[in-house]
Amino acid sequence: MKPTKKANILSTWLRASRILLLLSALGATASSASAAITLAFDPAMPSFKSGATVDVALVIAGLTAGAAPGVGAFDLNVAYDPALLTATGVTFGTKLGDPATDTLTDSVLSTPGNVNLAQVSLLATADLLALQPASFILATISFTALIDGKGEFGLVGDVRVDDPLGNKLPIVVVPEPGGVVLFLAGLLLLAIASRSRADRQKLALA
Amino acid sequence: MVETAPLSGQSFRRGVVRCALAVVLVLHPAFGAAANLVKLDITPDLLSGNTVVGGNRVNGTVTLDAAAPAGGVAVALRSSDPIVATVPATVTVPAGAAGATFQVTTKAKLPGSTEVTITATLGAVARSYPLRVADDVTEYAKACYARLKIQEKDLPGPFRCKDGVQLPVQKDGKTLDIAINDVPNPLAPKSFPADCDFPAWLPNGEQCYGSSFIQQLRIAGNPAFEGALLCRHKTVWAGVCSGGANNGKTCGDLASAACGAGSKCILGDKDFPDIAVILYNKSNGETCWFQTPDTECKGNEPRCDGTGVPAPHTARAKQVFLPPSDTAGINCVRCHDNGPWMSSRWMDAATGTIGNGKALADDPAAHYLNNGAHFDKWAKTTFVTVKRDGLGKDGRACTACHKIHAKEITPDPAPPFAGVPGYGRNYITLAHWLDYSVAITFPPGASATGKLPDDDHALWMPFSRGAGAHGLTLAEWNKIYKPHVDALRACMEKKGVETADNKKKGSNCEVRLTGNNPAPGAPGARLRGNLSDGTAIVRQVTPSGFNPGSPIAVSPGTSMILSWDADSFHHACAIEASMPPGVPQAPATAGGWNLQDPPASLGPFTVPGEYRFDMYCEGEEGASFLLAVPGAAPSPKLHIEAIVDGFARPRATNIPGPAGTTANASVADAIFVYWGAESVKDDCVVTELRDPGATPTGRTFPGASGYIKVALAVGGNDQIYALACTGSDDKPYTVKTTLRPTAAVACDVNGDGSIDKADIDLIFARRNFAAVPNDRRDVQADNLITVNDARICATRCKNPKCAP
Repeated sequence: MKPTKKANILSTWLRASRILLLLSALGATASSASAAITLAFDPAMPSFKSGATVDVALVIAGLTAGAAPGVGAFDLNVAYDPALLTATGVTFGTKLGDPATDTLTDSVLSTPGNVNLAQVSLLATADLLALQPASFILATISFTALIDGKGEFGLVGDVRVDDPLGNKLPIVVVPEPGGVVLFLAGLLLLAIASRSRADRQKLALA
Repeated sequence: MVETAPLSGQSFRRGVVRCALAVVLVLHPAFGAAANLVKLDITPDLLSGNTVVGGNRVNGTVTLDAAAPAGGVAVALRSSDPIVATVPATVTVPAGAAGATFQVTTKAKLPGSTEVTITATLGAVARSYPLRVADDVTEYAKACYARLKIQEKDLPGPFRCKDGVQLPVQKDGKTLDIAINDVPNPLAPKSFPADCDFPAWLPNGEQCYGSSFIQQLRIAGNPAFEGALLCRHKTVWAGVCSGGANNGKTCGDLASAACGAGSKCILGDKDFPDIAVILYNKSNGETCWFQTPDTECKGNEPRCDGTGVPAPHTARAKQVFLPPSDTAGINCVRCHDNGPWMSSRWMDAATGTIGNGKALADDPAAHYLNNGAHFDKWAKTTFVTVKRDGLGKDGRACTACHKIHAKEITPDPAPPFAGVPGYGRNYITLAHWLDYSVAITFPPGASATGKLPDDDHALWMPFSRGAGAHGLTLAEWNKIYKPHVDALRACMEKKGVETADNKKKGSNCEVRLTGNNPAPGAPGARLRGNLSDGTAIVRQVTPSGFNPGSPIAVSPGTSMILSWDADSFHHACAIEASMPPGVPQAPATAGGWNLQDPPASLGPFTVPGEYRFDMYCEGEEGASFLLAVPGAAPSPKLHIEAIVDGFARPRATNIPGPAGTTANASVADAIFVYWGAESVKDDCVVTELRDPGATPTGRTFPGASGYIKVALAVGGNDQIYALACTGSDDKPYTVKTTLRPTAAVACDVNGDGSIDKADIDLIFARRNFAAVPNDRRDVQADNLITVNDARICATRCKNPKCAP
């Protein structure tokens, strides 16, 4: 029995996915080896209905629990699509200390498409490191969906995350917005390639 | 009497049958009497007479002289010109009804006006309505004038752009306009700058044009009317050929070659591609908008000639201004959401010089309405007001001078705004204007000078407090105004989730429609306080400049009831109390009581002395009660304090006894000295002294209250400010505060000798701003204040968790 066009595309898609997963795993291994500190959004691309509340956490990972480098402060600008979402609030995490008593916090939501959130810990370095696991939530941003859609978030401007001594940490943002686009573009190309291959097969059969 | 006129639209019988049926119908009205079409009416929009602005749908009505019979009556409709106006083929009057409505749809952007006849026919009876359809600026103007309560002769025009005040573009304090008062400006660049000190609050690319003019339009004897003519020299800085065969022709790219031999291209400032006229009636809020196309001016169009801007009602206006439907499509209210006038720094640089600075200024009590076809589709403006939220007596609530528009989200799709995504979604005060005004964020195109911290470039609102003071420092502003602005912002956000609370007068976030405020000067006190002994009013006060008049004698041990009220305009009100030494002010907070929460009862007054209650609203002048309990003469009260970089140092006061205090400060600090005295004679003076030996510097500052900005002398000696008065008891009183020059210690921002949370807060609040020379906040010395600096300083705190 000849494979159908749909089955061909699916098969190619799965093969591509397996390759990408493999590459991702290799990338993750490489990242682990170089101990990259990463910032990621969780969920990365949430789907939502109009009027829904969408909570997106900003997660830092790649630290060492209870040891340097740790995080002493951050000042970040999160970009989102203002045609899809409007930011309604920010809840800061507790791993830089109690947000109300042990830290200073600030968030600016009034610019459509951008949320600025900043926090600085007032704790001593040793107390701060003892508090922090290898991965934790810096802050959670709440949005209200304006229309049905799927959100994507990125960090723009200077990505400023500091260790407890005030030194700026090298941060890898995952997924990088460009990476997401390339990933989607790659999938699209694979699908097109698969389709044209299927078309060629159809022509050959004709 | 039996109706005998012909009926139509239904199958019907004649002769005897008709008579019999008519009798039945008269006896049984529910079945419908013989009905005739007696009237066709069309309700035009707000334009005068029978004219409708093209592009609108308006209602038509057919009226019968009797109720329609069972099955209804269908009335035929027809338009004499379906291109201009369309109607449905029929409209059915339901059984039992005597009339029905239908819609007339008209075409937009017709040149001039076109008359079309709408006809309704029922049987042999036809009724017609002559409808004029126009999307014509002159028709709009005429209807507007009626709402504005002005006449055509009041605004004869034409107007000349350069009769207005120039709106310059400046960078680093230098004016870059092509010409200043028609004199060519040697500093003018060849194109408008990318950034400037006071941008025009427009998206990137349009914010730093200069050579523009704003003009107030007035009508003698009509104080309710105010108009504005804004001529923007936007898009290009066109050049003009000087000399040669092409003399006077434009040479937009400044290429002299384009002018030919013997000629050169010089900058010109005579074209105004964007001209707007706004007309406003302050009493009823009616506002009308006239706008030219906002495209590059070719130099030979009528609208480009700033020497003859026609009055909107004149025939030439049709060649200059957009049709009203296009102007309404700009959705001007998106930016002009607080009122007809924009109060940007750029605009106020010019309007502040017109009419003692009161021209084209926001008026919080004035109404603001946009009516007329198309324009009445704009969102209705709603405004917020909040309690004082920490504002001291010196602080002015934003709503004392401005209406503040609540959050309003445009329906999808959001109107575009110069192609900037998201910019047109919200009505913009919440998204931009509030933050621009108080330098929380900066408008696109703001220059480094326009972002300078700690001077009045950045901290524009509120205006500087008086001569010699360059406004508030950031720390001062943060202390006085930030909680208030935060409360306002939170209240503005609530419009989207309106609650019973924010609809309620007196809530901490009141949202109200414009036009509900009493007119200024309306009968009755806008602010009133009543002091009662429980049975009768002892004294009633209205605003009097905090002059309490003679003290009210109160017997020891008695209590009083204080009640306050203000009209709906006043909201951010508070009471501040001053008690004799040793008497607590409970239950008031340090900031006083909010108006809606007055102390139910005052007293019992047992301690001899003076009890003073100052009432004030939104920074307006206040009113005061002064109660005196016999047994002791009023105590003279003196106080003086130095405020260094916005932080009040320990006060020097004679309450409870004389004291001298010392504040550390560096030569780089901004230092104010404030003082005040009560129950003293009119001989108070502050003397500036320097150690050793308290040598007078020669500077003295008279008055029982005041403030000065001072600078530390280099040399290391203490600098002392001594307030001396003769008390009402004829005894001398002196208090003094001392400034001790110290080296600036990194991280100790407030200079109190200790690094603590207050310092970190000051650094954190100013993160991502440029540092000033020797800035104690910029511990990394990279000329930028960042969160890194805040964290580094946190590691240097004296106490755990940076406790004081």
